[in-house]
Amino acid sequence: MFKKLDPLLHSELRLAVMSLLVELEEADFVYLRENTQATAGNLSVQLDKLSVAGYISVEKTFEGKKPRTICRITPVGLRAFESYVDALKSYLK
Amino acid sequence: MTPEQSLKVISDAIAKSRKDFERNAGTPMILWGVIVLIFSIVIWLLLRTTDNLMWNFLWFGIPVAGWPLSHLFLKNKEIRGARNFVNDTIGQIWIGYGIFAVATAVALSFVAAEHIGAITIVLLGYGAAMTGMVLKNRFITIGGFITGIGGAVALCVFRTYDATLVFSVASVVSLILPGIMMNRNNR
Repeated sequence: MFKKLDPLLHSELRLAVMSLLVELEEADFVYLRENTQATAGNLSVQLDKLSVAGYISVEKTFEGKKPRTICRITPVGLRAFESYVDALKSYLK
Repeated sequence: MTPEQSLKVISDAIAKSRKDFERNAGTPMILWGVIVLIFSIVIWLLLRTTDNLMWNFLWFGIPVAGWPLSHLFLKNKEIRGARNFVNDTIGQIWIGYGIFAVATAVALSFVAAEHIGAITIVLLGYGAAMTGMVLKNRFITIGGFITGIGGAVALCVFRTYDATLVFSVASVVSLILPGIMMNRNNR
């Protein structure tokens, strides 16, 4: 029996962001953009979707005079990611 | 996306992030190892040539010289924009080592100065062994145990100025060699 894949995570960019954040304690917008090779606009939209779902927390801060957006995975996001990987396994068996 | 493509996205992202952090993970160990090595050899030379125990106070020069040097040399090697759990944990282990080593050395210098070396080297071995365990690296873990236990025993047995050289060996076994090995494995 195939498990349902979370539609929020079943998108290449959102899944890549969540995979990076699972591995990291935190990552800023620039790091995520460089490591996913996404455009700033697209990444911003996808981060917003993940944030609204409660999968990540987004903190806006300043480094000197430059604005900095720091993202962290939340416990809800971690559970969703684990469930997504579990669901994936059911397809690959 | 097919399940296979999803899995590839996940594994590629995780592998890339790990590689970024592992690339220069051994460099701080090499830097601190070289600092300890230089200080231990210089102190050994000064003790042998002058017979003046006051040169032992130069050990406090390790953190004094080490912090600015590590800030200077490692600044460009830091990953910008992200932090990971493993690197943070290892950094905290060595900050803890630095605080305990200095505090123990200061306290013992009033009551039992002859034991400073043995206790500092046990702490050094503990720090290296913990680092090895966090990284799941058997070579670093074993190097840490050899340094901690072997170094302390050696310091208690050799009670001459030459005991200072135990620190030189310890810096090579627990810091420099594991650091070089880590960097080489992660290239």
